[in-house]
Amino acid sequence: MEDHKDIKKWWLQLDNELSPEESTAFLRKLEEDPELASTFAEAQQLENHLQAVEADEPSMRFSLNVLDQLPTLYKSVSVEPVFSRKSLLRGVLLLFSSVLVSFLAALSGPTNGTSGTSGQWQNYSDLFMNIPSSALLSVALAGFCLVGIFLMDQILKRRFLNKRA
Amino acid sequence: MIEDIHLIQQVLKGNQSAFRNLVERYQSYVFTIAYKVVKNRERAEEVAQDVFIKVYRMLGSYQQKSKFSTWLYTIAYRTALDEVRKKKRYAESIEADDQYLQIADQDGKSPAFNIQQADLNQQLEQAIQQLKPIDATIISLYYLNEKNVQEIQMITGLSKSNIKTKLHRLREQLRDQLQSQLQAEVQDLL
Repeated sequence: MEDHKDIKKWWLQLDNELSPEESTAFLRKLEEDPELASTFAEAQQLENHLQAVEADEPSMRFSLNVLDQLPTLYKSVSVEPVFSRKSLLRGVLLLFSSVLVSFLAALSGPTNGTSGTSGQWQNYSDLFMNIPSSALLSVALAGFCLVGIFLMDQILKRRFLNKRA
Repeated sequence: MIEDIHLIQQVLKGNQSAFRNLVERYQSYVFTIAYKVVKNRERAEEVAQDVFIKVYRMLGSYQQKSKFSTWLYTIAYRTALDEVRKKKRYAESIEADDQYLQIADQDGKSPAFNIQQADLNQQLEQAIQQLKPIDATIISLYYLNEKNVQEIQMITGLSKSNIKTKLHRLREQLRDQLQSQLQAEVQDLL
């Protein structure tokens, strides 16, 4: 005769939730009661079928349909610096060579009354002294800005990567 | 197999193909949950798509407090329930579910028995499909998820004892519905 306790017991037995003592007692009861054993066998059979039930499958294009609808929320962030080391080196070399060329040009120019190398050097220093201070200030400011942007770019990108990691 | 968390990090870095891996890994489970709740393949597929898009949007807020699959299934279950409520068919489906149970009680045979050709597995799937959304979800999750009651608790918001009671009752109900088939199978085995 199936009573409520037996019904609960056989599902607990199938779920391995009975203690070893309870399980032994239940199995003994099954041996003694053929009717209960037969019903338990049905439950066991159902359990086997339930375990064999597979997940439902969506259509073949499902994943593609999802990807088609995805918004572009996460964009890949370029972590390369705006100015690479190579281009920075090129810039420094360019600056150095232009200073060198202007120096050589000043040396090979007219001496303006004074003879020898010292006169040419005088010419060269005069050339710089004659540049208006506002022009020099603007160039210096632009330089500082560029260096500032470069450093800021590096710092922010590093901070972003650390935060994401 | 690449771990979920690694794929999530890849997605957050802008790698959409990593999200495709996640979709392909979980699409059948998400679809199953949606199908068990909305009871219609086309609508279930729409719901499952919405779930993945929602997950993609919310991926940045996933805090790894639970497994990714639990988080995903919770969203799937709630989205499917919202869909049912939105379409104002929730009440209908509950009434319909009661009718299904009454049909089974009246003559001792479930509607599944009408399909002569179907084997027991198919009849069982059909019988599960005829359960209430919550019951069908619980039984599907239980067997698809290696009997993890704690995970079902997190997904459905029901208490552990409630889930266990429901599982006993539901399996008993299924056994009653498929009794003659099961008896025949047991006889064959003996």
